[in-house]
Amino acid sequence: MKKNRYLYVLLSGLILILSSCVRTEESLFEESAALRLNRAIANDRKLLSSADNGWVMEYFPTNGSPGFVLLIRFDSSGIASIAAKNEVTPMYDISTGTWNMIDDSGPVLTFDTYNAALHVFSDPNSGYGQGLGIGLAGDYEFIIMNASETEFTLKGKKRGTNIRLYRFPEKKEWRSYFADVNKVNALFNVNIPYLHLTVNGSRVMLTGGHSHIFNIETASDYPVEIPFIVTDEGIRFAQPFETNGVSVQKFRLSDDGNSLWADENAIAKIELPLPQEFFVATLQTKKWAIDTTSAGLRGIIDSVYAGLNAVNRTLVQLDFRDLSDSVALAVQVKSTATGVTAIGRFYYSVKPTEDGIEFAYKGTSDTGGDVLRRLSGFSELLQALDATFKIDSVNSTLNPSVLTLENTADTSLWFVLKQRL
Amino acid sequence: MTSVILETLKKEYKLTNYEYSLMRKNSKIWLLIWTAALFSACVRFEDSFTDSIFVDEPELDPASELYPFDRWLEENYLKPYNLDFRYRMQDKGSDMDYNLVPAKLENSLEMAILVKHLWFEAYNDVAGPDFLKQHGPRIIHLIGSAAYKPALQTMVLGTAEAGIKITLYNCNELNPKNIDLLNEYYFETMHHEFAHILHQKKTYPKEFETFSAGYYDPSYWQERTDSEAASLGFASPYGSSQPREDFVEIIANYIVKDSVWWTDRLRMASQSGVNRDGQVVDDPLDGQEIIEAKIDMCRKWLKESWDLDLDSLRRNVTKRQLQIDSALIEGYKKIDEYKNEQL
Repeated sequence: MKKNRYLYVLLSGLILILSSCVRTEESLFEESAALRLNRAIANDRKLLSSADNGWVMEYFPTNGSPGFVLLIRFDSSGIASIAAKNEVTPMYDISTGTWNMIDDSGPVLTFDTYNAALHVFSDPNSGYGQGLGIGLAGDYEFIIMNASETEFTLKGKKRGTNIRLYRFPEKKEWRSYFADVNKVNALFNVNIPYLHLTVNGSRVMLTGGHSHIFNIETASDYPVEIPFIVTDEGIRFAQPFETNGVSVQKFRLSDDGNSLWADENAIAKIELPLPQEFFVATLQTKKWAIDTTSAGLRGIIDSVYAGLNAVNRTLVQLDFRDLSDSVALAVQVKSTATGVTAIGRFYYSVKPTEDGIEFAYKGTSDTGGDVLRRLSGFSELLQALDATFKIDSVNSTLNPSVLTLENTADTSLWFVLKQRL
Repeated sequence: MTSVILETLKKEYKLTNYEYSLMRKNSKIWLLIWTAALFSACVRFEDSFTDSIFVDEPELDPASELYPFDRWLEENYLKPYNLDFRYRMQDKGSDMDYNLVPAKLENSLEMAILVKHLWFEAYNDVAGPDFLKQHGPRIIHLIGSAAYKPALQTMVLGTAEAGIKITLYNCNELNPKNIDLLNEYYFETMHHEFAHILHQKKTYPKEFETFSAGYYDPSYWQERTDSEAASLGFASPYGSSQPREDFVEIIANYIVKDSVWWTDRLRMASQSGVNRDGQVVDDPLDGQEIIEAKIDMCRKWLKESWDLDLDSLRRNVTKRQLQIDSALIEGYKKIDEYKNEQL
């Protein structure tokens, strides 16, 4: 009984202590949750409409989609003007609709009447993305995660994508912003077969740049997909990518417009392929025809002409083309009597090096090649091309269509290649 | 507990000692009486048309670009019908299963004017001004896109929820010049959904379900052609999905479709159906006779249950369809007049 009495006293004490804890609980906030939410909404509304020249929105419809930049001005009367120029709005355009800040379990920015530049990403009838009924499946309601005078961090309400909204410079023209975006976009034109990502001296190949989703071959079975967004200054990956112990996400366009640097020292950079890499990569879809040549090589080609004339043929074109496993020098000839054309192929292995490209003659295996190689001038031609060449682009680093190849052992032997379809 | 309540009542209602002693004597009975009184007080608040049920709506801002339209909606929907005409979309107010976009602002203006002209005023003319005040929806929600079901290759044109809310989809395709599309996408849908509201309040005759019993198909109705559906006694393929859809499809189509359409539909119904592959599908039913019987039953039910003359409503809607242009001009003019309040 005595033992029980102690127990009762102890329990009573505990109850008193616990109940006293409840009584001393302090309110952490001076206002109710509803009041704080209303205040946050009003503050966000004021901040958004305070930017006279609007905001840049870096918008990703879904986590697997490429990003799109939009310029948005939030009018305090409730109208949002949105400018766009991208794959789904090909011509620069400003469209309008209403915007609002609503309470939806937190402050939410919504564009609640149709605004073509934004809602095209959500429209199930847009014809883009996954087709009728789904479209690009993007959001038009955004949860406000952080807000300041210069930047908002948003999250798409349905898809959960991370979206940045930052103040657009006061004096900059909207249209000129998209011109700057275009300059960066030049690095992702469909003619560029791939780009190199170099991090701390280690290189990986980035393919698919024109779709704004890089594919990176990794040691695993599946390539990694990295959606990115093109801005006026460079690009930003949707998510950070880690390689060689370095995490990279944002790259700025270099002054010459030919590469993207993650930092001033270019420890991480994205670069165009070298002309020799470009030559090899584009052989799969294009031909490279021998155009002008040095006097030394011209003499050899003249012998080829003479050899063909002797058998009533004339030379139509000399070009390099890809034959899946090796590169062929294709010699297209035409009969002067019948006008019928024929092709002889001579195979080379090609190997891009840091400075140029190595051609190694492997022989011929087709009938046309077998006939032609016996004619005068051909063995000299095949031998002259069996060499190492320094290679340069003549017209463009972004989309080279004219290349010069100069024999590294004999600089008097050079020729020009022009891209043909 | 009872004594605490009685003490409170004494103070609150300043009861005399005699009254208080009577109550104490019969405390249980008095408690029952007071409880009943409290409940009856609640009943008195029900369905008042003088106060809006949308009490939390923010006040209209004269500085807003939308003020003239919002004021017009207030005067033409909120005050007379206690109805919130929602043209500004919120995902949480829509079906999250679909990918949807908001309606274009200019289309919302046109839709608001047309719904008033072709729908509310038609019922007002035929059934009197109180009919929709009492039975009409309390929310109309506009959605810009259709609600697609890609797997079924169908789209939802409208929905009615709990007799309160009608959602109209595909408003970004609105074209007031195309009466057929107006009816197909919106007004047939509105009559359809409103007929649901009416039969949810007063059930339709059970006999209706016997006309096409055994031919309803909730899963594959979308595979049926107009011809197949008509030959089975349905006004539309969707009507063949289930009896309640059949019932409202008969009413909605009867109101909005013209005599050319109905002549053709009844001709179809009198013949064997032809399926999507062009094959004739035989059935033992006389589709024309069934559809006519269904229309008669709907006509009778509307008259007896709702004192609503279906044929008068049809004639009124037909007449109003010819006045769309002038209704739009008048509507825009009225909306513009509210700009004066912004000055």
